Amino acid sequence: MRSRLVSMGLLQGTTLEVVKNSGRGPVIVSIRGSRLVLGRGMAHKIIVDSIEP
Amino acid sequence: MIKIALTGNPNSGRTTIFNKITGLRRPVGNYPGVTVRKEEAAFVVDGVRIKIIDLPGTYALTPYSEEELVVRSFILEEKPDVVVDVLDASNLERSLYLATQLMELDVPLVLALNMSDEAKARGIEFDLGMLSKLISTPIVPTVALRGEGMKQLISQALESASKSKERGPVTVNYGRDIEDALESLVQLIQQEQGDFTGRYNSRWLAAKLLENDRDIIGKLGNEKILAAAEEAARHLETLLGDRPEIIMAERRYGFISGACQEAVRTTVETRHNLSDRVDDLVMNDALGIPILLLVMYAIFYLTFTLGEGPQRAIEFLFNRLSVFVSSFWAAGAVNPLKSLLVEGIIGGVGGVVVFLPNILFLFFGIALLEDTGYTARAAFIMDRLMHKIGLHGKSFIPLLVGFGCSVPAIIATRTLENRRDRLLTMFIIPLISCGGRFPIYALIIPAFFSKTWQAPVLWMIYVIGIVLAVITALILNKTALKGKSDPFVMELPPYRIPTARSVLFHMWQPGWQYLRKAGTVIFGASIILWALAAFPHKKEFEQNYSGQRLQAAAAFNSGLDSLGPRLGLSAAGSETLSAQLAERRNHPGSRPPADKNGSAQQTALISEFLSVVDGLEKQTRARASGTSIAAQAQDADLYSAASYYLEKVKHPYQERLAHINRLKQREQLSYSIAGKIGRALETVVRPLGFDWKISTALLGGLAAKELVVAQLGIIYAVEEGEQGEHTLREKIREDYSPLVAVCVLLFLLIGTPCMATLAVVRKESESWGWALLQWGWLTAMAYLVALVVYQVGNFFGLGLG
Repeated sequence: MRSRLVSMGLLQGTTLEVVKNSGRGPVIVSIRGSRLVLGRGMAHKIIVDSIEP
Repeated sequence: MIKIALTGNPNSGRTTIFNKITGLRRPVGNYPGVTVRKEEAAFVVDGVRIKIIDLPGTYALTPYSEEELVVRSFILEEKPDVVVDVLDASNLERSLYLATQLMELDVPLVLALNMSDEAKARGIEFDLGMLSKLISTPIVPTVALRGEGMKQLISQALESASKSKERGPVTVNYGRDIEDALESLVQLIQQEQGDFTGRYNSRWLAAKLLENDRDIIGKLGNEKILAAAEEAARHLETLLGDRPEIIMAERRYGFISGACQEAVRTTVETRHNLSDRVDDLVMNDALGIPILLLVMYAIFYLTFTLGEGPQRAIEFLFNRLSVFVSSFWAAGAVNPLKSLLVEGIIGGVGGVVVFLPNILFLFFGIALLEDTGYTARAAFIMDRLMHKIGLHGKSFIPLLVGFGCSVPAIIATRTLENRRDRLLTMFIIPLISCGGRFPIYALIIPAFFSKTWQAPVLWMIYVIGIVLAVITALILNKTALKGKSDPFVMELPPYRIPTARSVLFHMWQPGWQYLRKAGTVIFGASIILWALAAFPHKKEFEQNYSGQRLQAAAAFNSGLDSLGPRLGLSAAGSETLSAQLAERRNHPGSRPPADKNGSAQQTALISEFLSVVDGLEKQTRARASGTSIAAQAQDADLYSAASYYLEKVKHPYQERLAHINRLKQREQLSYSIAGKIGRALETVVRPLGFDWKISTALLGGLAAKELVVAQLGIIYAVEEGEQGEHTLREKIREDYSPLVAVCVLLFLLIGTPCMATLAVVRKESESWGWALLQWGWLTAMAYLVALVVYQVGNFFGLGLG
């Protein structure tokens, strides 16, 4: 699974922006100019640090 | 012959480029995963024969999904002369990731920077010369939708193909530790497996071994190399703190980022564009699902209302055609060829073609959803619900395709990486009501429900299918297919305005397939079904039908004889009138010359009477069709005699004759092969309220669902014989209650997936067992649901009128 995320451009150190997170259901993030839908279970496993926009 | 392979990310416009280059029209859509099989076409440019192959869209070339394996093994085994990798200019970095993997495969590579107009509009500027130099690969800018850059792309591809030997492989530098490990592995591979290196690039092989690529490990099967690779991978993991494949992916992205930093500039920062604002609405927590349901409802509503007019027109044309063909034979003649043409072919094929307008509108709606990018949003919206049945949102896309046809939907499950997800999705797809079942609904629903209820009933049928799909998935989830679904990751494409060409194509292509099916499969099946219904001919009937006909004629004649005295005619005049009316009965519309021997007064009376009869008949017909004609009988006696004649003599006779005919035809039909099979099945389907005619029609549904309509058309045309002025809808309305109609709809919605579905499930699941289990399960469920509905409805007396 990890290699799948990597091939879609989501790897350690990537800056991402959470576009939509309603508290339930999948999350939409923006990375490298494209929008990715991540299942909630998946999104939980991604550890982020916030950076100022 | 130059072989060109097209690769690229899903939704990057690869198929559009393929279409533009070849002039073929392959389905394209604005959601990931349209090309699930590879397609190829051949043509000639400047005297060079070119074969171009459109490969499935992938993000990488790992062995973890079927599509990526397809692409990889195609490039490795078929060795195309050049690979054209399509880059999505708006997602350049991610697009280039696939490109770096292609470079390592050491095939001549050309990059097509597609949708560069869209990227420019988003404020991205490219220095293509610089980028091309940094990654040592030629790049051609294209706008596939408008056909820009296609010529340059082809000539660049041909040039790269011819110069393939001059160019060394372009590689990403993975850093010293990994490079060292790669180098020693390469040496080992070249020592140990000389023949293998002839086919594959050994540096690529070494990299795959470090990445723990199970496909390559399985193929290599050399213990010494494998042990060395494993050892090197372990060493690198402790050294670098992560598994080599992750580090290598990071290095590839690093290489790409470096190149992009030099060659790409983003001038405008658009954080929240229009696409996001639309998404805020349609993917809203509370509104998302209602909007989705509303959108689906709107499509079905339009399908019905817009389809009605053209449908009537086609119906009318087929009616005219069958009248025209019948006119080659004398009225009432019994001829097998005439019966085959009119009842078998025109009835069967016509019954199916009539629904072409509905099919077109349905696919128009689905095409709009696909091309705008809404389908991917639907997957997002449905993810939470899909989780409840052990699937995730991505499975929703094949299910949505299933509204069109189960066959491409089952093929589309290839986008799911996990085998369990695939099998589960495949299993429930036939419960999503496909376009082939639509003609059945379009025939039956308007026959039994008033206009206000038609769209809701249709909508309900679809919803019931979905609910049963959910139940089935839940059961499978707890039994045969325990386990967890893969995590959900999907790209969300930006909204795009669909091009008219693409939408029309999506509408026309299934429409054309439908017509072709009507012209081939259904044409052939119609003939077989007709023969089953028409043969063997019954010679000895249980009742003496010709005797009954004579009796009826005698009753008619005695009725005629009573008319003369009513009108005060002489014996001779009375005889003349009877003769004239009898003549008119045998040859409707004929006007026998007035009897010269009768007195002028009597002749005038007779002709006046006949004209009143004609006037009255015209009036009845006019009333039936809704227009009114003022009564024109001046003479009360004439009027009452004429209506006596029509109501007490002529109509009873006609009805009696039709009844006798119907009885005879019915006896013949139940004697035929179809009737015998239907009767044998009747005992089984009786508890569902089905008679032998419905079960005969269901037989047709085994081959293809559309055939149920064709079969009913044939059965009823055969039964009614010559008098068939009624449309099929009116005929079935006379024979069945709304409750039975609902049960038929439910049975066909749920049960007996068509042969094409059975075959494709077997192929995709690689298991006859799974395909047959699915078939049996769905049919059993159909039986059970129809049984419960019929018995409960019957008990409470619902829908019997």
